[in-house]
Amino acid sequence: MDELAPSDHLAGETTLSPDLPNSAPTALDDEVAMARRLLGLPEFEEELAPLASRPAREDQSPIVNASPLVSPEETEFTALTASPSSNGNGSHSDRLDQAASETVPSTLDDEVAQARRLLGLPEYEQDEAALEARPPTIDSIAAAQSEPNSPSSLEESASIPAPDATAAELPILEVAASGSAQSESWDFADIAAAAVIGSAVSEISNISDNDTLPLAFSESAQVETPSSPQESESIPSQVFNGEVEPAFPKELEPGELPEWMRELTPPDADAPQAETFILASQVPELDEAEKKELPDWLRDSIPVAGAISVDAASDEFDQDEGAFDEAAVLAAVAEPEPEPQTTAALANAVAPVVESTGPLAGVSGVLPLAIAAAEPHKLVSPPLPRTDGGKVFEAVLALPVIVQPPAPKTADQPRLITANHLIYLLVLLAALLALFLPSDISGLGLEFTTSPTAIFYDHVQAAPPGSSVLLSFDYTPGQAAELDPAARVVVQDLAQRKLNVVAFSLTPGGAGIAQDVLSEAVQQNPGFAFVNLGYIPGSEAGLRQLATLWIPRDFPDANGIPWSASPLSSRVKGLDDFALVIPMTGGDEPLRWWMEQVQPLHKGAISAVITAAIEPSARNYTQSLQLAGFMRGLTGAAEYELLLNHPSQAVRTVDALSFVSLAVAAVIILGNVAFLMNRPRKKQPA
Amino acid sequence: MDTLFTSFCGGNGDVCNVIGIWVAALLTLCVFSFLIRDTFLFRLASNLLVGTAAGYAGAVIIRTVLWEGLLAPLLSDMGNLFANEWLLLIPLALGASLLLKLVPNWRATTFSNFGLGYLFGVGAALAISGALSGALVPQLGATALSLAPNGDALNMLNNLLIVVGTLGALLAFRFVNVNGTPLLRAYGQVTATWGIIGRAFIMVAFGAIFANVLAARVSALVAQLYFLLHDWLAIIK
Repeated sequence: MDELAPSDHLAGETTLSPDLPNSAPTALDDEVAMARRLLGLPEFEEELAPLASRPAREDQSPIVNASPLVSPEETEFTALTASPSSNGNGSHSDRLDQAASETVPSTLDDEVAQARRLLGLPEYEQDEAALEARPPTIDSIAAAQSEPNSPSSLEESASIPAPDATAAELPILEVAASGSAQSESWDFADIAAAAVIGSAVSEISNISDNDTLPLAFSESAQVETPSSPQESESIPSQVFNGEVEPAFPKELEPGELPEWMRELTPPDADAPQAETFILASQVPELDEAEKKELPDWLRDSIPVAGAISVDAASDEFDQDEGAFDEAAVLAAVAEPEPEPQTTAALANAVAPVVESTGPLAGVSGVLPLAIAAAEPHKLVSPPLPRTDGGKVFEAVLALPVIVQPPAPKTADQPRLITANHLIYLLVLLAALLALFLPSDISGLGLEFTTSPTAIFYDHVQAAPPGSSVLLSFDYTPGQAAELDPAARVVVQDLAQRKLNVVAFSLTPGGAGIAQDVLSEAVQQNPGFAFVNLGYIPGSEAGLRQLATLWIPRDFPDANGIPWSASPLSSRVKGLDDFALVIPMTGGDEPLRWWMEQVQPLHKGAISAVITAAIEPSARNYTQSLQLAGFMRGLTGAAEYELLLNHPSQAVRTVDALSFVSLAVAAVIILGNVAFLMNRPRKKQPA
Repeated sequence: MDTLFTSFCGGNGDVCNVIGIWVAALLTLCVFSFLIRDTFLFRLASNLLVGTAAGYAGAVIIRTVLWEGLLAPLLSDMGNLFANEWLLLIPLALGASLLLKLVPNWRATTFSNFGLGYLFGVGAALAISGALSGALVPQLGATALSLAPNGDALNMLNNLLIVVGTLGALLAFRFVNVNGTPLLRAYGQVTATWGIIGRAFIMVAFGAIFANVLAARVSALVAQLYFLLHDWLAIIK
């Protein structure tokens, strides 16, 4: 849209309709009364009567100034001029008219005070800071956007409010941020007309896509705020976001109507007047040049609207398709507006604004938010509704608390026989049954030809007679029940094959075990020679030293005899002089010490006698060829006995081992089956 | 002390042996009383075991290590101590410094750090060197198996299982969420899936370990029952 020069503005284009009712009781009265009730105010009083004597102003038409299309020189719209209206029918509009015609509010404060008096509100202190913090006006926007040397006199303009803010959110007291030389105090008519025109002008602000306001905005929007609320009795106009402040035309004499208002037909006082606002369609005639300067939407006749939505800066105007919704404006009109010629008419023109947002959307005559929010009013919270459940809950809480005595603890009666006892009994019976089996059928299911025991047996059989074998008894008395049968059968075999045995232990208790086993073998084989070196301290460090340096010559054995005194000391100088090294260990650590500290330094083979618990570790070492072979505990001992063809204790006990293993497996299977059968089933969805 | 015991049991070995068998049998029954409940007899037997083991170990260490290995050589040649046995003074000093830990004076406890530092240093060196040469390298070599051995399908399957299981067990302890390019995400998905397979192998290994431990415990039970029936009661021949 091209920027419009101030002179191109049409006079009175956005003026109020001259057909505003002024005397007959109208819906405006009802709306005002409703507003007052909402605010908790008493009925409207006659205090506004002095306001009716306010002289009318015809020189300055705020409506004209508010419109960017109105030329201050050509328009003398004084529709809002507060010419005393003496309709005297006692209606609210009459009272407004009278009150507005009393005095001319010189400042914004005066207007606010006047408005408050009209509404029957008490006076309030003007807050200078609040006044100064008013949202900026169109003038400031225009000043920022206009040329640098624009003759805008609105140097004090603040920033323009955001276009998306609703006019209802703006304080009603907001007028121009600064006054101009031409600006004078508003009268009620001017301000009301400015409000009306401003709503229409909001459309103008939306037309410009680049948010460039016409130059006329800056020049025309020169409104002087009232100096004090007491002086002004005019209802201030509303500032519509993005709209142009009403620019005052040339000053009019009191009571003088602008030219465009003079052309308007005065309304019939007795006839009910439709509350209509004539906007651009009823402005005075314009020159062709002036018409060309108009925006397209103003060139067309604007439908008459009884009330203008104050939500001029709403988003609907900012939308691309949001041309001025004339139908909505028409729909918002609920009552015909009073005659704009009178103060009452002006008030009616201003008052019956239709709220377009919030819970009061569609309701006309809504008081501006500024007034309503500024008034102190007590908020009374409605009492919470009591439901039946709440009443019951309260009744329950009111009951006295009864402390229940603690329930006497019943002593747990220990059961004589439990499921664990049955399992123990089953295991014991399985073991005893196997131990009492005839010896000729002992060793059931033993397959020793492909077991690891066979490899171990081969290694032992590979040691030549008369050679030396190193035995390490690295298990504790707690593991002796499983390893003693294996140790005995190995030592018996070595003794029978006339091999020399050097024994030692990495644990303090192993030395005694070694002595018992070796002594038993000597009794059964008198030519058997052995040396028990006893306890070698240092764990892995001692084992490492044994692998590297062997033992000192004066190292005493378990009987206190130095190593040098042993006949084997001349044959054995180090670990490599042994034909076979057999560590017998019940734990994982001693086996690991042998594999880490000795095996890398020893050239010969190492075969171990282990318990069933560390068989998985031994298999790893066998897989990596670090361990030549191993014999697993009681089962290995039984296999070795069968390989020697000399079944003994190990073969008798391995049957019990098999029976007990079968019994334990059966218990585990039955327990899992019982668990699966008694597992709580998932509830089927309804 | 040894002479007294030997003189009594040497000539009467059977008596000592019988006494030993009876004591062992009664203690075994005391331990079996736990099958009913935690009885006084069980606690007596267990406490006796702990005390006897600790006492026997202490006696063996004092005799074989402290006396025969350290003090006896030093005291036997005090005249030429610094000429012949001066090296024994070093372990004597380090061992004595460990006892300073009992002194509630921080200045005294500072000297105990020498002995502790020597122990920690030697232990760490042995552990690290042994782990590398005795565990890591040989196990890596054992895992690097050919997946296509010479015409042996069973051996190939065995090698495949070993490789897949070993790598899967390692990947099971990899908790890294890989994001980024599609290739990285695919890599992360593959390793995560392989880790799940590795967990299955770990569970199988845990089951095998449990079965072996059970077998070991049952073996101990059976052996003790055999002792009671054969050595103590002579029911079983």
